[in-house]
Amino acid sequence: MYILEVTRGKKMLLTGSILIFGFMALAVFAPFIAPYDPDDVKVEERLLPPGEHHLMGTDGFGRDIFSRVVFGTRYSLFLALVVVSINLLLGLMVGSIAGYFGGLVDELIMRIVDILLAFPNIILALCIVGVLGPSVQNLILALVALGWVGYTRVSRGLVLSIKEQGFIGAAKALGGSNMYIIMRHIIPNAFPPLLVLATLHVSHTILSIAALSFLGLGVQAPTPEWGAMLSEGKQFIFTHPHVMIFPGLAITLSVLSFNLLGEGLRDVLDPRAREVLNV
Amino acid sequence: MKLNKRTTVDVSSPCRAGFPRPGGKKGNIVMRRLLIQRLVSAVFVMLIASFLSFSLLFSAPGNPAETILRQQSGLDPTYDEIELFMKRHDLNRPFLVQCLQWLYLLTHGKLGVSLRTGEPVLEEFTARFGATFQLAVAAMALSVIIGLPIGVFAATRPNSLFDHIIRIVSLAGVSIPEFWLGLMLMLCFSLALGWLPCFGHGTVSHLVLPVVTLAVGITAFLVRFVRTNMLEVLNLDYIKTAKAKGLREVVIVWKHALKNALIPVITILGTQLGHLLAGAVIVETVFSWPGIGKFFVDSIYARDYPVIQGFVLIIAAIYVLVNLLVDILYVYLDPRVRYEGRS
Repeated sequence: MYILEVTRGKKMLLTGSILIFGFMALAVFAPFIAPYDPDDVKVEERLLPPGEHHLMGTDGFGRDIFSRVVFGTRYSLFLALVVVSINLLLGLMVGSIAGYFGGLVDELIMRIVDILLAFPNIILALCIVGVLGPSVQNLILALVALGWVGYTRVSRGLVLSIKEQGFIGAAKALGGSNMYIIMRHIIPNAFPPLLVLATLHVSHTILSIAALSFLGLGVQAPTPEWGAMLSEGKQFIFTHPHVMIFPGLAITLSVLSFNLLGEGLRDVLDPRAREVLNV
Repeated sequence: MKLNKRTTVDVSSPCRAGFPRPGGKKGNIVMRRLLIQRLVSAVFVMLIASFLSFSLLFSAPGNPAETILRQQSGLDPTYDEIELFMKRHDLNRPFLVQCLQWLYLLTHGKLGVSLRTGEPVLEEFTARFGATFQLAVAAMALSVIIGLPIGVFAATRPNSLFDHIIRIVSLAGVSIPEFWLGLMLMLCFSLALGWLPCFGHGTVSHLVLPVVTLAVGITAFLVRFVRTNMLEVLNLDYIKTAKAKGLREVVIVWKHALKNALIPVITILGTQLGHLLAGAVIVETVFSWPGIGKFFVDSIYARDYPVIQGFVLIIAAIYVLVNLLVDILYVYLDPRVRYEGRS
C-alpha cells in the first residue's frame, strides 16, 4: 500500500514503468507487431520514405525500418539486461564477502576495486572488443570487465551498515553460518538500493552497446540492433535521413525510460539508501 | 615548502585557538600522507594497466602481421613475408620476453612504432593530441558556462516550473546517444540550414558542431549534479544564519552557498574526463576530427597493436594524473579533508 501511494505521487516512476512495459511488450510480441520480416531484402523497394505501407520507410536494402526497430528492442534490452544482471550479481557477491568478513579479505578486494575504478571504462571496453574481435560474447565481456566494480563498492558500503544491525547479531547467536547469514539476511537487505543503481545502469549500458555497435565493434550489421542499424544507415544520412532518425529515437526513448524509472525509484527509496547511492 | 617549517600557530590569523589554521603542521602531515597514498596507487594503476593492455593484445585472435601486410599491399601475404614481418617487429618471441622488452622500452620513453604508419607511437599521439585537447577543453568550458548557472538557478527555485522543465530537459540530455546527436545536428545545421560545415578541421565554425555534441551530455549531467549539491548546501545552518542576518539572496546563493556546492563539482569534473575521452572517440569518428580518438578507432580496425597498447596506456596515465590533481585540489579547497582524511 505504501509503495502504491508513493508511486502515485511519483510521475517519473510511473511514466518510466509504462514506457519500459511498452518496450518489453514490443520485444516479446515482435513477430506479431512487426508488419514485415526484419531481414526481408527487397531491392526494388529500397530507401522508400515513411508512408502508408512502410511506417518508417525502408533502408538501403529495402527492409522495413519499423519492423527492424521493433525487433531491435529484443537485442538492445536483452543484452543490456544480461550485462547489468551479471554485473549486479558479481558485484553483490564480491562486495558482500568484502563487507561481511572485513580484515585482509576486504583490504585485498577493495584495493583491486580501487585500481579497476581508476580506469576509463569505455576505452578499455573499446580495446577489449577491438582486440578480441567484434561479437556478442566479447561485447558482454567488455562491459562486464569493469562494470562489476561499481556494484562491489556500493554493496560493500551497504553490507557494512547492515552488519551492525541487531537481527544479524540475533542470527549469529542462533547459530547461523556465515553463508546462511549472507544469503538469507545480508543480500536481501542490500538488494533494493542496488536495484536502483542497476536500473540507472541499464540506460548507460544501452548507450554503450549502441555506441560500440555503431562503431562496428558490437553487434554486427545484418542484425537489426539499433546501433548497428545506424552504422549501416550512416552513408544515407544526407540523401535519406529517415534511415537514421527512427533507430536513434528508439535508443533515446528506451534510455530515457530507464532513467525515469531509476530516478523515480531513487526518490521513493528511503534517504539513508539514497546517500549510499550518491557516493 | 615554507609551510612545513612552521611550528607555532600564527597568532595573527583569525582562527581561534584549538583550530590550527589550514596548512598548519597537522594538516600538512595528513595531506602529505594522503598524497603519498594517492601517488603509490597511481603508480600501481599504471603498472597494472601496462600489464593488462599487453596481455590482452597477446591473447588476440588473428595475426596482426597478416592484417597489416594485406592492408599495405592489398594482396594476401605469403608465409615468408609474414615470417619476415614478425621477425622484424619481434612478434614471435615468448609472451614474457615481449612483455619485459616492452616494459624496458617503456622506462626509456619508447612506446614502439605504429605498424601502419611506421612512425613512433608517442609521436602519433602528440601530433593528434592538440586537436582532441581543443575539443575537450571547449566542450568542458561550454558545459560549465551553461550548466553551472542553470543548476544553481534551478536549485534556488525547487519545484517551480523552471525547475521541472530543466529536470526533464537534462534527463533527455543524458539519454541521447552522442553519435546520433552529432549526426542529427549535422543534418539540421549543415545540410538543411547550411550554417556550419559538417566535416573538416581548422576554423572556429568547424569546432561548433563537435563541441556542442560533446557538451550536451556533460552539461545535462552538470546541471543535475550542481542542482542536487546546491539544494543540500542551501539547507545548511550557515545559510539560515546568513538569511537571518539579512544578506541579499544573490549574495547568499552566489557567494556563500556556491563556494561549498562547488567542491564536489570539481571532483566530478575529474571523473567526467573519462566520459569526455569516450565521447571524443565517438564524436571524432562521426565528424572525421583528426584527433586521438579517431586514430585509436582506426588502429583498432587495423589491429595496429603498438598503437592500441600505447594509446590505452597514455590515456590511462592522463586519466590517473588528472584525478590525482583533482584529489590535491580537493584537499586544498576543503580544509575539512586535511584534518579528518578522506574516508
